[in-house]
Amino acid sequence: MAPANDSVMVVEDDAESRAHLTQLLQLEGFKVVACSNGAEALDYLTHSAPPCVIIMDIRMPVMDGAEFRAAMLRDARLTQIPVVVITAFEPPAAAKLSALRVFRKPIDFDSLLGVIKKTC
Amino acid sequence: MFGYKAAEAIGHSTNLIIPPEHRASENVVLDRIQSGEKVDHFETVRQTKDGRRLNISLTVSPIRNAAGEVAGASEIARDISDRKRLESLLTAIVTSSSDAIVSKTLEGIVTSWNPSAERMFGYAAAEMIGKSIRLIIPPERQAEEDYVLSKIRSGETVDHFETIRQSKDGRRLNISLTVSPIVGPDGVVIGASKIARDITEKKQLEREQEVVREQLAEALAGRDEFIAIAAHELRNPLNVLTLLWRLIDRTSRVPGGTVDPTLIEKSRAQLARLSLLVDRLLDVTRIRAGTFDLYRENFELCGLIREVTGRFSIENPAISISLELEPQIEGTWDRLRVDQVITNLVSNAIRYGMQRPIQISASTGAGQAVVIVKDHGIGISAENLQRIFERFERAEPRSSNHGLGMGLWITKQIVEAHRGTVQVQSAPGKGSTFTVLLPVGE
Repeated sequence: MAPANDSVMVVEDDAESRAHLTQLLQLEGFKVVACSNGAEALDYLTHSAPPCVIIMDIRMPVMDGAEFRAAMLRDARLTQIPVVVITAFEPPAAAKLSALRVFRKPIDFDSLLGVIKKTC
Repeated sequence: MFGYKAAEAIGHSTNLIIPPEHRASENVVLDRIQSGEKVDHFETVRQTKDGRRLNISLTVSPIRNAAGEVAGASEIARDISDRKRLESLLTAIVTSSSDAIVSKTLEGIVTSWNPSAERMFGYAAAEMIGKSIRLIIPPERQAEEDYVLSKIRSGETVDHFETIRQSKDGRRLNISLTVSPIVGPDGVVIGASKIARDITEKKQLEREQEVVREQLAEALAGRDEFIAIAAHELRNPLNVLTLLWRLIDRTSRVPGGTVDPTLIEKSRAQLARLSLLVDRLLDVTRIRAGTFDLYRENFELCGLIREVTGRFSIENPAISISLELEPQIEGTWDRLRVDQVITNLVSNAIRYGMQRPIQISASTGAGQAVVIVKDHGIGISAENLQRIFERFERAEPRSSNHGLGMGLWITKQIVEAHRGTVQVQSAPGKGSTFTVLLPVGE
């Protein structure tokens, strides 16, 4: 399946962060798929068209960002999807995730939007 | 040497150069010469023309006449004043040294023992001279003496050898030893000189410094961990606030758009969460710095429990919280801190209680107030039970309405500051029961 160029996946366990980021991206005209952990996101990806970009947190219950990213990189269908990491940790925590960009919380939404628009 | 010209001396008695107090011993020498003996290296004192005393070494030989009878004596005098000065200087140094200085034969038999050795090891010189140095070597270190003596025999020095010796009263002393060979006139090693410095205090200081260094490293690691976690915990509510304000800004700019009042309410809740976080971080800092003081007052505990649970019931109307309280439990506690303890426990019960009913009871017994907070939620595994009261531990990974990972540690610190205890019983899937015991009076 070809990537949907207006679809963005948000993987974030903090309900409020997830809801507000989703709402903001929708206001910018994107379709948003929101998941609360890596396992949920992986489940969605195996059954649906890949999004244009995945925005993900690192520390999450059930399946954290590192495990999720490793699972993605093992699946040929998913390796090409760009990943943007948002984390409350220091950026080096995301060093091994082969991310397109790493943002530290609180995120600069304009910069994030710029990266998404450039990618999608 | 003596200041007299030959003409002044010849024909005079040798008493010219013998001080009056030495004349008697001089007669002994003369008696020996008289009987034909030679006197070698006889150390005595002479006086010069100007009255100075000289330390000299005398070799006196009889002069015989043709008949072989002793007719006179020849004296060869060597000025040994410099050597004598050096000797007395050395003696003074050895006597006054704060290091133990002793000498021994190659068999380890003590031949000299200075006052510091007496002080350090408790044996008087008279007790040690002629005895084996092994007396001050602990049984398990006897082999060291064999090693030291073998080095000395081959002419080597043992330098700053740190070891343990024992005193007469059995005390173990940390000492630093330097043992050097004593070489006789013919170049053969005839014994050893040994300088021992008591380094017991130094060793003690080193151990203390090591402990301080470890504590410091631990404190620094703890501080770094604290800063990292504090930053992490503060960034999440800040992130939500940033997104909320962005949303408020975005929606209010749409023509005819209005600000959703729930966004304002959510912002307020995030600010409250941030301010609670800052309070807790300060609590942790105060507790760690030891500046955590209790402000005790007399108050009634059940009223406080009702007040705290009332706050939670308003925020969580769907969750049943039942109370089983004695009519009155008076005690002397820090009201704000006890409020914090109950708030923490109830907040945990709600967070991990899976929306199931929560029971809170308060009673008294044996001079203690007993507060029990029981939930029927996810429970805690045996492994996690071990560490939930540690700083920054959370049994469950961060959830959407996540806690701070400091709450139970702070709870425990507050309860213990009141000389009470907090315990937990739990089983995964069955829920958790926290029991707080608070002594009623001071």
